[in-house]
Amino acid sequence: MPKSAKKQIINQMKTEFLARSENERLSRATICAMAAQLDITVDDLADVRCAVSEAVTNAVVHAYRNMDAGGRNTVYILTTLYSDRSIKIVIRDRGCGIPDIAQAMEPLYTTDETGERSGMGFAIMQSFMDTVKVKSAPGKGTTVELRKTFANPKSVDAPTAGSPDKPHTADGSHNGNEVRREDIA
Amino acid sequence: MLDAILTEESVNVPGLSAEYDGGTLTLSLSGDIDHHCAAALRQRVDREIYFYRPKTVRMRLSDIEFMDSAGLGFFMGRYQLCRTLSCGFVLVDPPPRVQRILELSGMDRKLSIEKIYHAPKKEGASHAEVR
Repeated sequence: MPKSAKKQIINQMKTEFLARSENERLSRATICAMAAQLDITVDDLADVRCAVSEAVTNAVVHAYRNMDAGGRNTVYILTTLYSDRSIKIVIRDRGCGIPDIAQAMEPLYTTDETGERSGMGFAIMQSFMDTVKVKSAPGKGTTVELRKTFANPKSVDAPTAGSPDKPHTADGSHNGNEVRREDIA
Repeated sequence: MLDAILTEESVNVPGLSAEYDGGTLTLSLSGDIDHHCAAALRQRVDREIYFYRPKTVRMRLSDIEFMDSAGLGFFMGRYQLCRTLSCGFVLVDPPPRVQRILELSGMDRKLSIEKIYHAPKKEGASHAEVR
């Protein structure tokens, strides 16, 4: 695909649900059904499934922990499929926010003291997706943007031949460990 | 209402079967292990461990269909418990996806993992079907 060719949106889905742990499975199933429209490999699908699960689990576990249950404890997901065989999944909550994003993304860092949580959520997202961007500020919720570009189905055996353009990011860079801290309006 | 449907036999709860033989407790896990079901699974597994007080706990992973970092936390917690009880802890036969997550976290170097040979499945080349 020439670089000048503009990628177009093929499909888009908005999902929102209460920040309840039952919905982790629901969100995995929903987003995977959407991603499968790109005719991707079982392995790619498993990557997306796991990354989504991590992001949604974070929102369920952390975002609304200090808020009363009567509030709008909602997780919002916007999934977009593009013509260059890429997917963008934006997982957003209106929760407590992350005070130190770099620290939160560190492998093995966890706020949990019972020894039952691994602190590997962001590391898994970064490993399984092309880019992971996090926007958050205390009291302003958290937005996690996951992107991945999939190989052409015909070039599965030779991924380098005829594969699509490099994963696209907003600023044109390709860096899986991008950390951004911005206030959410 | 929903809780009444999601009983232990439900597809939404990972399967667990326990077998005890000569000091070794083999726990076979199946299905999906995520944050939602980790707490209940932990209770059920720990109940078995406290009941049998084995010399070694073997956790058979080959039937796990999905696992995320909640599974890592679950293994870490059981590993700590087994250390406290002075019993061995072995992960048996992790599927490739689970193995990858174990390696990512460095847990494959911390825990003992045992692999039993299986005929390779044709994976990766086939394309996902929309269900």
